[in-house]
Parts: sequence; structure tokens; C-alpha cells
Amino acid sequence: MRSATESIKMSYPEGFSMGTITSFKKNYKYLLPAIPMLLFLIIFFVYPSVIMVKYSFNKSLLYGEIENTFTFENYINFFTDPFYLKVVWRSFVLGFWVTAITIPFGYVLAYAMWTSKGLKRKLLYFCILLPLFTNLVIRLYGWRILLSPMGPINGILKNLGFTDSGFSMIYTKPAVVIGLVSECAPYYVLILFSVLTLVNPRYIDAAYDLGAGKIKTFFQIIWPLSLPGVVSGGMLTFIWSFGAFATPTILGKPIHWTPAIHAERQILSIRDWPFGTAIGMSLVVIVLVILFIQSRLTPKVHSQRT
Amino acid sequence: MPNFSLELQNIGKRYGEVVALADINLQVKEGDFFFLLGPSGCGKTTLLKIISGLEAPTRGRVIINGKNETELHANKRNTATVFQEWALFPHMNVYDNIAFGMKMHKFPAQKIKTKVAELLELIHMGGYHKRMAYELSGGQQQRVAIARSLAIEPDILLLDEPLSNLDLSLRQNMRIELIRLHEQIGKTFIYVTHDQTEAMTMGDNLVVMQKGKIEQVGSPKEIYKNPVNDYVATFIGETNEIPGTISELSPEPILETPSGIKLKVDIRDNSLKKGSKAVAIVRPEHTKVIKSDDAIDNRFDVIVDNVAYFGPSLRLFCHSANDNTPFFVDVFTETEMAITAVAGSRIKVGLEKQYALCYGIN
Repeated sequence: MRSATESIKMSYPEGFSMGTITSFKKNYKYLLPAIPMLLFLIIFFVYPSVIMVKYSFNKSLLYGEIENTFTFENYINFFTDPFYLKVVWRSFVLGFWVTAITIPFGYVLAYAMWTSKGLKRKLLYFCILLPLFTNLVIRLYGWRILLSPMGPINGILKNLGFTDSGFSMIYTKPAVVIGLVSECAPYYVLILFSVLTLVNPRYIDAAYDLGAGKIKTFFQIIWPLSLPGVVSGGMLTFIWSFGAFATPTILGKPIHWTPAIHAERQILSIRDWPFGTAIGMSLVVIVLVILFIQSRLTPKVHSQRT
Repeated sequence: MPNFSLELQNIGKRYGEVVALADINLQVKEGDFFFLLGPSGCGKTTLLKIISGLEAPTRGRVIINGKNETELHANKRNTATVFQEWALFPHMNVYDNIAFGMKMHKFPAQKIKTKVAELLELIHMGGYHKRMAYELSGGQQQRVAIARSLAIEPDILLLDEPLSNLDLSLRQNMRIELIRLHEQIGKTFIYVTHDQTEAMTMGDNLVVMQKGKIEQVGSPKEIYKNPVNDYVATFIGETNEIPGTISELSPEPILETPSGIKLKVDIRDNSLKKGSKAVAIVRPEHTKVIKSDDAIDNRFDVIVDNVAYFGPSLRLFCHSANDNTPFFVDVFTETEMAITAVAGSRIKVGLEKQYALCYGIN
């Protein structure tokens, strides 16, 4: 890490001189192959985002026309309306549950992958990647079938005599949480696995050698050293769930809707572009604030190559 | 019967089809500074792991202080390892690293505190307890790793090539430091290395290993003077090797080189017969540069290729005048010979037969 920042510093000489100009020219040369992608992003991401920002400060008229004024009204409405505050709060809680479930369960998977070798590891890797080969919406409809009153899970429960009419599992908060856990887990597992592979097995040998049992070795050595993976994977899971769109739509009821769904409704159904875009922008700001707090709270990750 | 810190009985280890260790028998006296010496891949690190309990042997018994501890896992054995890359816990400071083992062994808190301070004094690093591992130099990390292992008061301290990641001058200082620590603590040290100088200069006793087998056990002096085979002879110390065939066994054993030089040799291998292929091992300090009329068992001509200056001595890199067998001789810098020897000159070397150790070639 340190050497990377040093090399960046070195490529930008201090002060302005002819040397600076040539070094900038040189740096631009390396950017050349990135131009097509850069253009693509500017046209299809930066430009629409700028429009979004602009709209969010405009005013909506009765039939959805946009009045080109500058007003904070949309943001004030969003952050003062108890309804939307509740929506944001519910999304927080949803993100919390998804993260709280994904972290331990995903850890077990990543740990199993880390400690296995050869074919077993490849097989686990494949199983974790497999869901990503299928489109999210199709996977969600799969969950709908599984969880529906007529679905296989209820079928088994009925046959076992637990219920006559079947439990209503679909369109509940647990259904949304399950859907999101299954959605985020592969990414979390892959991030955590890559961090675990950086843990030098010698540390574990050393811990055993010094008298630590398996449990102590895990909690005192492996867990703290894998914490960066847990934090970044957990953050990804939380932000993903907080801004989820498809899963709450397909597996939940309007009460489970996230701010993202409300933004979409405002824009497409109610045709209030300024308010919809203001919700969208507020989401971005909230996520950035969360990331900022996280970066402050996470202890410095120490180089493991000592 | 002396007290053995460690006894290994018929230890074998295989990974699938690969035999890493075959039938290792070893006894280490209490308080010994004992060396496992061998080239990389000879199984010495595997053996160390079996002693520490990090690996289980496929067969055989590990007896520590008279108790059979073969089935005991590493965390239950009173051995401690200093790893090659030291393996200090990167998320802990020096204090916590050293205290870790004591906490695991449930030492009382007050004892841990005083013991860490004591150990930091012992390794000359008092005041470093708040530093993180990555803030230390290689030599300091090395010493903290030793302190961490000593903290649990092990009966046996195992060191796995602990100096190989240090630069030369630091390595030499640490050798002296380790000898001092060993004397001060008086515990059994078992030290794995591929560096014969380390083993020769530091060890009370050593074992030379090759391909998962023990070749020889003994003190450095014994092994240097009486190596059991040509492998040990060439691995320990520097040697000239003169290949040839046994042309005579009695009254006097003679090794004849392909170019026809007849050397009187000392047979060290009972399996040698007349006509068998053999090699004479000659240490450079046992050869002399002679004048033609000196009385000596063997004499032959060599041509000097190169002269290397070592301070007190010169090393003359030569080849045999009859064929191209390389040969080197050490002479003192101040002698007449040393002054006249230049590249290209032809000199006579002499060798007493008891210094031409003759072994069979497999």
C-alpha cells in the first residue's frame, strides 16, 4: 500500500515547471486506451447524472412539466415527510438484517473454501458463482415459486401436517431478506475469500504452537486478520440492500419498498421527475455518508507481509 | 542413562506416494544446541514440524522429556517454534505478541507483565512493547519472535532457519546472540538450517540429513574429521574430490585416477573392493605445496588457474597437470610459495594418505 502511494507522489513533481508539462503529457499518453470507455461513461453516466442533479433542484408542475427554477423544496419534502423518513429507516433495518445474516453465513462458506483444496475448493467456487450466471429477476421468480403458498416448501410442510393452508411466506419481510441475502452472499463470499487467502498460514501455525486451541486461534488470529474482508463485504451487502430495487418489488409488498422504488414510482407513475430525482440523489448522499463513517471507524489495516 | 529432551523413534512421514522422512531415529540431550542440517527439501523442516506437533508423523514415536507425545497436537506440547519468516502477528504490538502464548497457557496477569518486561530486556528491546511488528527491523522482529517463543517457557525451542532472511552482518550478530541466549536459558535448542557454517560454529551436536534420511549424527568436530560418506564430507566443510578406481587394496590401498595417477588413500568405506569406483575426499588445508624432494605419501603436479586472496591465506584454484580434475589448495599469505604462485605456474602438491578419505560412489 505504502509503496503505491509513494509511486503516485513521485509521478507528480511538486511545483510548476516545464518538467511538469512533459510529465503530464506522458501521463496523458497512458490514458489514450481508456478514452473510449471514458467517453461511454461521460455520455451514459455522467451526463444523465448531471441532468438528474439539475432536475432535483427544479419544480414540478401539475401535469409533470418541469419548471426551470432553483429550489430545495424537493429535498426538504423528502427529509421532512415522516412517510419517507420511515421508508429510509425501514431500508436501514432491511440492510441491517441482510448484512447481519450474510456476514456469519458467508463467512462459513468463505472459510470452507479457504480451508479446502483442489477439487473441493473448485467445486465450492463454482457453486458460489453459479447463481451469478442466472439473471436476477429469474432467480427472484424462482424464490417466488419456492415461497408461495402452493410452492414446494409449503407442500412439504403440508404433507408433514404442520399446516393445512400453507404459511404465507411470500410478500413478507423475511422473504425480502432471504432474497437479498442470496443476492449479496456470492459477492461477500468472494471478497472475504480473497482477503482470507492473504492470511499467512504461518500465523495459524504460530498460534497453535504457542498453545492456542482452534477456537482461540480463530477469534484471536484469523478473525481479526480477515476483518477487512468482513467490513468491505459487509458494507457492499448493506449498501446493496439499502438501495435494492428488484428484490423488494418482486418478493415484498409496498410496505417493504425501498427509497429506490419510490424514486422510480415518482418518475414513471406519478411523473414527478424533480421529486423522484431528489430521492435518488438523497440516496447517493446517504450512501456516501455511510461510507465516510465506515472509513473513519474501521481500524487501519496492517500489512500482513511483515 | 542421560536425560534426553527429545527422542525420535522410527519416525516416517509420507505425503501420498512421496516419502518425506524415512525411519528417523534421534536422541537429543537436555540443554543441547542441536542442529538439523541438510539441503532444502531434505525433510528437516518437516521433521521440525513433527517435533512441534504441527504435523503428525505417518509412523514412529515422538518422546519429549520421557513422555510419548506423538498424539499430542502442537498447542498441547511444551515446544515453541521460531519460524523462518518469524510470523509475528501483524495485528498485535510487541507486547501482545510476546504475551499471546502466556495468555493461552493461562499464566497469571501479573506474571505475564513481568515476564514480557524480562524478555524484552533479554533481547535488548526494553521500551519497544507498544511497537507494531511492521514497525520493526528484520533483526528486531527476529528477536521478538524468539522472545515470543521463550515466553511460554518451552522445554525445547525449535528454530526453523531463523536467520536466513537477515543480511550477513546481522546474521553474524544474531548467531552470537543466539549462543548467548542458549547459555543463559539452558534449554534445549533444535535449529534447522541448510547453512553448514551456522551448524558448525554454533552447534553442540548436529545431524546431517539427505533425502529424508539421517546420514550422520555427531559433534561438528567428529563429523568434520570422520564423515561417514562422501555426501557428508562434501556437505560439511570444503573439499576436493578426486574420482578414480581402486586398483590395489593390500598391502596398501591405491586409488588410480583415469589419467593414471596412483594415490595412496585411507579407505573409509568397507564395501570397497578392488576395481570398484571410488572418490578421494581431500580438505584444502591438508594439501601442501611441496618442493620436489620432500618426503610425502602422495605427490602430483597441478597447474594454477587462479589465485584468490583471503587475507591470512591464499586459495590456489588449480587443475591436475595430467587431466582437468579441478583441485584447490590453501597456502598462508606470508610463505615463499604464496609469493611465487601465479596463474599458469606449475606446482607440486603433496598429500599424506590419511587425509585422502576414500569412499565408494553409488
